[in-house]
Formats: sequence, structure tokens, C-alpha cells
Amino acid sequence: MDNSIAEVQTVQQKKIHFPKGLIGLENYHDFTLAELPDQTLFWLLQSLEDEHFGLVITNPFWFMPDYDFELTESEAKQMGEKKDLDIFVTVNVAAIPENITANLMGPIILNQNIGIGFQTLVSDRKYTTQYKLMSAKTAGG
Amino acid sequence: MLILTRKKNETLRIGDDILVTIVDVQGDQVRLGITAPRDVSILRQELYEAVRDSNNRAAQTAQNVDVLSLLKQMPNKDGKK
Repeated sequence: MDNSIAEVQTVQQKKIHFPKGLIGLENYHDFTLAELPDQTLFWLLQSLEDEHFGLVITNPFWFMPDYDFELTESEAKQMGEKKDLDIFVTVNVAAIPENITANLMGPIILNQNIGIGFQTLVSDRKYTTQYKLMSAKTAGG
Repeated sequence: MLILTRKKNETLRIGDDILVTIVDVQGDQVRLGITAPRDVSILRQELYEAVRDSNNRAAQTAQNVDVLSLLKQMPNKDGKK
């Protein structure tokens, strides 16, 4: 398939700066949250430095309402008001829908008001890096 | 890499405020006790690697897979009502 990201309309080009980049992808620091056509639960975290670089992310709470983790004090301090924070998890979009997974151990925290974001590591054995989203759909009805 | 030999119950200092104590050694397992400031994150390297690899896969699939048509099969806010 050709690059489908090119079709994505960046509705709101608001810059979100990741001072430390993403884990293992430290070269990219500036992103924007792009809407995906016909999607209300998935977004594209699109690099502003490389139009071909982006990650699909989703809000974890629609499939796991009690998803929870703690920030360190210094992380919390950098991120501003707790009420302004949005939590996302990265999505691995596989060719087989049943294999589409979300990574619950590396959530992305955004404060869109001050335009800052970071990814943290969650060391909790009840979470996985490969949570199958289709099974969530079945379980949720 | 600095390599030091320590015995059980011995401690290393890293900087001014990080202490690493060898709590126990059983065969190929070593238990460490770590004292560090609250804002120092201490994690197993495997977790870092798992998230790093997952990020790389996510970035690659977003480029190479027809994300939009695949996600159409996923639930939607409206669909869930």
C-alpha cells in the first residue's frame, strides 16, 4: 500500500514539543496531533520534522477504563496542570485486524495547552506492550 | 564499562545520592537494593527495550500499512453507543 499518512488532513497544526523525543526515537521532537478520517478513537501523532514519520495512537480508556500509572514528581512538574493532560497509547496497526495491538507500557502524555509531551515507561506487570484491541471490542460488546 | 567486584552486603555509590547494595546472590541471580532520589527512574532494561521496539514497529507500520482502511474495522465512539 502507498503511504496512507499522506491522505491525513492535519486539521489543527498545533505543535507539541517532546523534549526527550519518543523512547528509542529520540531524533524527533516536534509533533502534531492529526485526526484520521472517520476515526473518533484513533489519531496520528505526526512528526513536523519528517512528513513520513508518525505513530497511530489511541485513548486507552475506551477499552480499559481503569488504566492507570504514576508519574514521577519531575515528570508531573514539567507537564503542568493535571486536568490539562491527555493520555494516549501507541498502536501497532497490523495487516490482520485481530493483531492490531496497543502498547500499555509506554503511554504518551500530552498537555495540548502548553504544547508539551513525553513518553514514559510503566513498570506494571498487569500491562503489556501488545494488548489486542479486537479482543477488547468483543469483550466490551 | 566500569566493572567492579562486590560481595554480598557491600554497596556502591553512584554520584552523591545513589547507593546500590548487593542484597543476595543465588546462583545466577543477584538481588540489588537501590537507594536513589525520587525523581530518578529505575527500570529493568527489558522494559525500555520492549517499548523502544514497539515504538519502532508502530512507526513503521504507520508508513507501510493501509492504516485507514484497517482502522475502519475498529470500534468507533458512535458505534459503541
